[in-house]
Amino acid sequence: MVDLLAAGIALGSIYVLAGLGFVLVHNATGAVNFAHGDLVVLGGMTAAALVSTLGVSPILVAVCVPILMFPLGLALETFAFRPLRTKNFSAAFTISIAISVIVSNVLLLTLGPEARTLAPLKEGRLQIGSFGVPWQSVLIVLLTVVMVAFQWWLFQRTVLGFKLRAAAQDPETARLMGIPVNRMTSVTVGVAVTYAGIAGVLLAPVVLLSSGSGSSLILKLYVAVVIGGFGSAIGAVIGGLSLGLLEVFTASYVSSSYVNAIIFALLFAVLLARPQGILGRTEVRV
Amino acid sequence: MRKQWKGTLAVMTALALAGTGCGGPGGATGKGEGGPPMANIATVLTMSGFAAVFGQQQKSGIDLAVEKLRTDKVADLKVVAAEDTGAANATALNAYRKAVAQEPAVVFGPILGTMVLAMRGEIDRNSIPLITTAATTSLTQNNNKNIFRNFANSSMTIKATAQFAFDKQGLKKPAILADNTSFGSDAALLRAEITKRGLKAVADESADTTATDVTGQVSRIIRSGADSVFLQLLTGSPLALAVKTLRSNGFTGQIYAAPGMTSPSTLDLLSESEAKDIYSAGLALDTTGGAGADFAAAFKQKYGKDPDIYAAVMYDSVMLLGKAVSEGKSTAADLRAALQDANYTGVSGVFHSDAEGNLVHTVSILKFGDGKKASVDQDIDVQTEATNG
Repeated sequence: MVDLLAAGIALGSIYVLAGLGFVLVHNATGAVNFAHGDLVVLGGMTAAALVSTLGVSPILVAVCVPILMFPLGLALETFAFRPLRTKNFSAAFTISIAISVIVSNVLLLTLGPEARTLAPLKEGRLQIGSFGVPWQSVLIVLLTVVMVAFQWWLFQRTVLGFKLRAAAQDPETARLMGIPVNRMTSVTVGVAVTYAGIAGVLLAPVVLLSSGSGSSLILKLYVAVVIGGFGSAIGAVIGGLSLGLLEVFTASYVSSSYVNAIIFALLFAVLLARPQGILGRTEVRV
Repeated sequence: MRKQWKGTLAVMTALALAGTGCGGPGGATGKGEGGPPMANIATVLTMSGFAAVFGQQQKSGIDLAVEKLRTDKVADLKVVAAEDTGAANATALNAYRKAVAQEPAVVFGPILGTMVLAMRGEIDRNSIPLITTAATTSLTQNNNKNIFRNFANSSMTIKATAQFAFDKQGLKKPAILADNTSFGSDAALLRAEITKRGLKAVADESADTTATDVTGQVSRIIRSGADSVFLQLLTGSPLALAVKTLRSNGFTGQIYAAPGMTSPSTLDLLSESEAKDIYSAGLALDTTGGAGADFAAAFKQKYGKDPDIYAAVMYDSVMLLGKAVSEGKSTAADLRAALQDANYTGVSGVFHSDAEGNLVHTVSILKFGDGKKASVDQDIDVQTEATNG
């Protein structure tokens, strides 16, 4: 039971880590970024390729890949999301699907069809009595806590965070207050894509990533975020952890054949009972 | 100036038409002027999607064989179409239709059984032989005339695995982990083999081809007290994930992995200790010497990576066709007859066709040792059920 709990939390932390960036893009641009799963895969596969083919140090890669993804986020916002941000929901939604397809195909063409993995940043297991959990899973959980705390601090306790929130929540008023809305939105998307890079680097040792992995990951992220409440970082944490635990316990005690059916039945139930998710805010249409 | 441009265009069009043959059905078949005998082939392989790792290896194996036949002046097999099936059956069917429009004499088909099943009606209608590695047993049943399988089908590998695991090793408490492809659904054959021996699967689990975590399934398998687990997982990624999770959660029973285990791309994902002592039923590509070593060296030199068994069987299939073409056979009917009468020894083993179009009949039970090297523990001739080794 304890090992399942640990596995569920570790899996849930993966969804949380990847889901944080997903929520950030939504908050900053209003777009549901269906390319986020592929950006996570891009980070993980690039890191794995750099280590295996060029022999770059894993620690250096773990630091550099997420940093290098920041300008990619800026570029995505500037050239893809911004021109369509003011158009309509479906345009932004469609462009994110296009980015998803482009990223996965570029990965297929450049890194090939083989799945890639990284050696764990720390080998072995944390053993407490008869119960043990891989160190990499412990690392993922710890870093997820750090990232959630960092995000909270950045957005709630810094001047930059206030500007970022103002630009996302009410762009017109923020602009009148002298806040450079476009730059703030770009920074937010840059941070989100950096998060995707961090998630990718941490996931590569435990989840085997291939060019097609993004689409299945984004589906789970979407479910986690909808359950937790769209737009809420804490909601993404609750949704991600709930989903991870549900997956592991359903596969272990009910049946692995029905895991996805049960997850989507839960999504259906949550949407019926609480369309805004557990922590989401209700939007009133006027 | 404008007139001159139009004239150039007309000449180029005429040259292009001449270049494509424009010779009606059959295209460029027969004997090339001064060159070796010719025939057209087409490839419809999974070059993208979750099984792309196999499709790309197979395409490389085919291209290498075509080049070798041409260099050795044995035969000139012209690849008139090279289509990608993607990951969907509808795309695969369209890719097949596009390929046969170029009138190949033989088509090399995808590894995914559901895709070949989707094409089955068209294959019969076109009467163009299709060679596939797909292991789905039913593909070559029901009066099949045009599909030829150059790999052991699931029925053969499962029968051989069951003989080895239950009759020789004496395992009593098997668990199953299968994926949701038609390959995974062949786990039903394993259940039948288990039941036939008066045993029962103590855990029967499934996983997605895109699964990122199988902890729940593995936990259930360990709780069931299984002494062995049979991984009917097609692609390397979930297969490696399952092995990693079984190992990291302390599963101590025997592990029997699907043939994809032998792919270098799968082994790359596993450490030596994770791969050690795993059994896998399939075909063995012996790269320690002889033709297998020459093939592996040529493959590595051209593509910069090691070949897997799926590349090897496609290479052999093209070489087999090349031999037939060199004997003056070039049409679809000629080459179908050649495949039906095949008796050819290639780098991956012996090919001879049965009434259903299965070209391979010997299944090797491989065991992984130090350095992730697989050695043959036992060869089992499934057709005659006579064993040696």
